[in-house]
Amino acid sequence: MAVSADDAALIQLLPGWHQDVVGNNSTVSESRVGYEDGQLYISFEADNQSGNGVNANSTYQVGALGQDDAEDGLDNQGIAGVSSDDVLYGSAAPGPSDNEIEDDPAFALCNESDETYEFELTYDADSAPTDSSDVDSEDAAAVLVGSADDTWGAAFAMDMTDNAGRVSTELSPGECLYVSLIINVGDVDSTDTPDWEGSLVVNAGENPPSGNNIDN
Amino acid sequence: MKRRSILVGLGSASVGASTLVGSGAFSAANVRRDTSIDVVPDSDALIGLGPCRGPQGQPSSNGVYVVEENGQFALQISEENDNFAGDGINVESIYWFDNVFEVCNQSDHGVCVDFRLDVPEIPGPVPHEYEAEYGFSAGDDAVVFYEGDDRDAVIDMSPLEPRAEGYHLAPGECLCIGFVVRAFGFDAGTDIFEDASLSITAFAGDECDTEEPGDGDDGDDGKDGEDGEDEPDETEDFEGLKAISFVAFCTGDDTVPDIQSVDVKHTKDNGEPVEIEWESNDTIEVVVLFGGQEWYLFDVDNATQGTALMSADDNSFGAGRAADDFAAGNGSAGITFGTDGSDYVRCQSSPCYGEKGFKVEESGGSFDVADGEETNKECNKGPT
Repeated sequence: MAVSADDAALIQLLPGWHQDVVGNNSTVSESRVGYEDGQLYISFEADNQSGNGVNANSTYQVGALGQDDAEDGLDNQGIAGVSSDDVLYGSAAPGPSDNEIEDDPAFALCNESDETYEFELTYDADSAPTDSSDVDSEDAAAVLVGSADDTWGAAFAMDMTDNAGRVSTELSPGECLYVSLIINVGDVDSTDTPDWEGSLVVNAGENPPSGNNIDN
Repeated sequence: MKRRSILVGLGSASVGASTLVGSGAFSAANVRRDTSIDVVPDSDALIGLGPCRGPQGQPSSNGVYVVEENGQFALQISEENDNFAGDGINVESIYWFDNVFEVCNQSDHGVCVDFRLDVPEIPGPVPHEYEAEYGFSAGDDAVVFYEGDDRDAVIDMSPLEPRAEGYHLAPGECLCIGFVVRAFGFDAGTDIFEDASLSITAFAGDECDTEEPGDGDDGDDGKDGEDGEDEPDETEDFEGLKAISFVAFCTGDDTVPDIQSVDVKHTKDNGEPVEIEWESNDTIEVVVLFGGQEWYLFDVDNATQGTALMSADDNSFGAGRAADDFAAGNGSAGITFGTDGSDYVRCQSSPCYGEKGFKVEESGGSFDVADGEETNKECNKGPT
């Protein structure tokens, strides 16, 4: 039995810049979404440049968000602290880009097996800015917005501020779930604000796991 | 995204593709991957904000109008800012503030940066002599932003299509910004930017239509603005500079700093180093260069990184400060950077200001921090 890196396993986790996703046309930096020891990570920590995080009163986005993605994932699900009005890039944002998530995602989750599985995504939060009593959820939102390329379901959003994020979707062989990230920080004291730390957990199996199914 | 309307067609295509890419099956799987997002002060963020810096990393003189409160950058030209005397600008006046704040791309991606700010209009009237000389009148913007100290290189703050008017910043590159305030018709005590907020948007992976900062004819005297990131012009000649013999680092508190690296940034044609880049794990107050008979001092104001060049010619290179005694050719023994008695006598064994420091000698064209040594507190005395 071979242990494979995330870009070669039965469940593939691929950064947007990966050649099997968008390749050179991706706007995603390897420092933000990349591999370490073959494992995908999402990081706004120190890299080889001097910058190492997000500002207060700022919005950062990794990957595109389409109009429907933003409305389904952000507005309709009532995520605190961020809405489709905050989107900077993609067809949901003002400007010329008509990109949807799948055109330029932060990362993709692909079923590279030869069977259809139910995939469940969970976010386990170890810490979040709202752990501070001085920060409320309206001032700190980090949300993963995802959409499967071939599915009929609405886009989903997973709030990285707590453990409430849990979605599931069915992926056929070769099908991918594309995910972008938007972070919206309000007027917080950035010298004393807890960071978002946690894990994105992917479960897949023949028995569909529980969770909010994004397929209709 | 037309997910619902194209369900069947795309679903079929996907299944078809699976026969090509399928590589087995499994009963269940669990994959856990780390995520981390740090909220950090503006000076440390991927889009860094702060006062403009000179070539050695020191804040510009007009950087005093930039304050950081709770990690957030703000412009303050008011009595609330204790960094300067005075409460603000005069009514019925025009003020230029060159090289005030900078926006830095501290990521590893090129970005296109755009600015938006609702600028108030000049209530007016504007005296005729100002209209005639400067070409503005009532109803024009009361504040105009420009690149660094180039008052002709105006930055458009209007909400236009971002990429059409943005500035491309390469990784590590900064755009220094200055502004002019045309305070005609405002009542004394008016906060011109009351409730205004500057919006800075950076798009990754996009080229901008505008020129890169510092490029082209910026209308000044031939040198780029003090934006802290401009490389010396290609026409600049390092051949006339003395090679660096050693670089010394002083903390200002009589401690020996932990220097992380000293790298050669520029050399003469023969490979002798004339400019270095340095990084320190401790904050540094002063960097001293010595070479030939020449000494140069750089006030870097508690920086942890910077550059230093064997020159005091800030028209060509930067803001190095030559020792006063250098002109007398008395550089190999004790020298001072101030003939008014404000500076200690320094020497090769004690290059810091009456305190211990850390010195790294040039060897074979490079600087090995591991071979560096603690310097004495005073000349002609051993370590104390």
